[in-house]
Amino acid sequence: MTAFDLLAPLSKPRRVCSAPAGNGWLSTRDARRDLARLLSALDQQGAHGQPPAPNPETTLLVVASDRYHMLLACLAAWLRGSTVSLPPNHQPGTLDDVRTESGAQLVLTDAMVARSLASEHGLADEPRELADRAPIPADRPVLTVFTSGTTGDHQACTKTAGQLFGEALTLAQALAFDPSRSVAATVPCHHLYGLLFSVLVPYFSGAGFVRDAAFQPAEICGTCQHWQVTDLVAVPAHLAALVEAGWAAPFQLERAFSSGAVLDVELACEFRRISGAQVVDVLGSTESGGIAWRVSEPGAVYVPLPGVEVAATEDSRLLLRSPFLPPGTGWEAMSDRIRLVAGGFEHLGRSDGIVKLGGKRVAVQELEARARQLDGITDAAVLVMPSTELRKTELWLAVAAEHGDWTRASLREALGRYFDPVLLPRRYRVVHRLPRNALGKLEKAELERLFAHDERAVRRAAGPKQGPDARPASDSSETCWTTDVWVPEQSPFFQGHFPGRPVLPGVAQLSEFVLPAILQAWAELHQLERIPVLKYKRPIQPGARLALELRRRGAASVHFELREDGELCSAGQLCFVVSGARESTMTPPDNRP
Amino acid sequence: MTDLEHELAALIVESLALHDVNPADLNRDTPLFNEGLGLDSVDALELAMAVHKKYGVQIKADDPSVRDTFYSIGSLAAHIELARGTEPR
Repeated sequence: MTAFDLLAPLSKPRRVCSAPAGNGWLSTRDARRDLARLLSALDQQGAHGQPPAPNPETTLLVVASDRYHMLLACLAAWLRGSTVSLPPNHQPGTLDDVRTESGAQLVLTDAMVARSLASEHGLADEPRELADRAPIPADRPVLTVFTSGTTGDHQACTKTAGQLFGEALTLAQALAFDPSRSVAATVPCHHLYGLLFSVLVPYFSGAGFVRDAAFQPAEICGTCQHWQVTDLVAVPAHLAALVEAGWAAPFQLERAFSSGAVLDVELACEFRRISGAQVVDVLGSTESGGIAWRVSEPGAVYVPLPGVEVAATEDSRLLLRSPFLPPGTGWEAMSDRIRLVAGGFEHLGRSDGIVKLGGKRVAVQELEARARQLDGITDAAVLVMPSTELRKTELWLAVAAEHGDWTRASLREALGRYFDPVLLPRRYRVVHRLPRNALGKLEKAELERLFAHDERAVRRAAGPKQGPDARPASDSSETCWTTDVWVPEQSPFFQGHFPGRPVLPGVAQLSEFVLPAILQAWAELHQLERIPVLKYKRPIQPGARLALELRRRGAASVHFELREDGELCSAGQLCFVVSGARESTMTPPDNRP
Repeated sequence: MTDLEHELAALIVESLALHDVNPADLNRDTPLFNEGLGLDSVDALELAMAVHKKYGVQIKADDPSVRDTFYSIGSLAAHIELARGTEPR
């Protein structure tokens, strides 16, 4: 059986990665010394601040953003026979969960690695620490990557040495990484893509890598310039940001890698035009490993990686047989849809419910499941909506709550314990119940209506607007407007009105919904004169969804009705001062927020 | 708030498409990230671009104070005023 000698890349003098504070490169000699220190710390005393970890058959949860720390932590774990677990993100709630789910006996953070390197373990006997470290047999599990799952639990994906190191070596060779190249990344190294492309592939190929992630366009430029980067590991959103920033790249950059989301060929061409670097689009997933790659140009096809076989089902699903799949797996159906063509295949899209945001993936169901677990929340639904040019897609969350304590801020905070900020919903609605139909199904259009009136509704117009749900209808004598009104869950009007049983005050019905709607429908009716008829039939509660009907009766008079589920809540007649007429005694609310 | 700070509040809401946020509810000290507006890394990119487009001011990343710059509307306004050569208030 194949075995992998993890120390072989450290046997020749060369650079490994950037040194802190921009001061040149760390060499293989530095890395051997630091690795020995970390091994010594792990083997003898346990990592600083942690109980000793005497049993090599342990799982280490590595929580590192520094790529050099990630490399050292992984190498140390593997050399002593441990496996490494990587969390989907570094939010505290997620780390708690993953620590339990992975059964990790030890958590190794950036700070702990740094302390181990700086401490008196520095006196570690390097030859002894690194001697007699056996190569890792291909069938040994070495890595478990936790990703967002579809059920609310994290999906654990375990890789053997053959899968992980085999893929790193294959990528290094197929994509021509060598010691002359310098690699920087805009993606974190705790995801498989980042771990492979910005840590393991450089390590095995002898290429140098930059430790820190660069993120802002200016930051990425600075990093590329300072470290004379030849290869940038990125995601489409970051490439788009660089294009948008008008990045001119008078440096050495030759290639940018893109994975994790669909890359527009146009974007790739634009990136090449301004930077001179070609964009290599890599298709793959955490579970499948790398599948294929192409230089993103019009008409370019994906070419399977060496050793990977690709076929297509009748309904265009990708079938995969790959050395990077778990040992013993035969042909495996993927969620990608492809068309086989000469020399490779074209990618037609994906066929599952995973949404990619900012190059990261989130299972919509996981977000909904997490929300439903929150105290007092009985139902939750996520909408996937188009967003700004860079972001492309964003999520909106509607929840049904038993009490009024949930707000945008508290929901963000609660969910932020489990999700990367980029994956959090951008808009929130808290209602009494979600608009499920008789079969319990939620129609997307119904959900969208929850968001149709924003939270400012109570202070600003929630009035008629041009669109399918606002239609001016007219007969000979009057004009009629209908529109939907959503009463917010939280509003100052409910405070003390009444304790424990909030009801929308009658004056608020007029000032917040009826008058602004009238003003929007007929701008000339801006000064209320008197209210000859006004009836309140049913109380209106927070979260109520109302139909507002306005009928213009003559030049100065409007009849209104507010209904909930067809039942009349209030109705009345309002008379206005028509422009140029008398002073009014009551003015409608202005649109000042 | 200064005129620039009002402008920035509007720019943030508009360029980031924050449908649920009213610019008038923002003040100089509202934190833009985390516990405040809850902006994320993509927002940071978009905001840096919008600021560059509108004011011609680059938010330089090699400047260690980039996080401070983006802390609030007030700090962003101060950065822009400084970069344009006017005195921050």
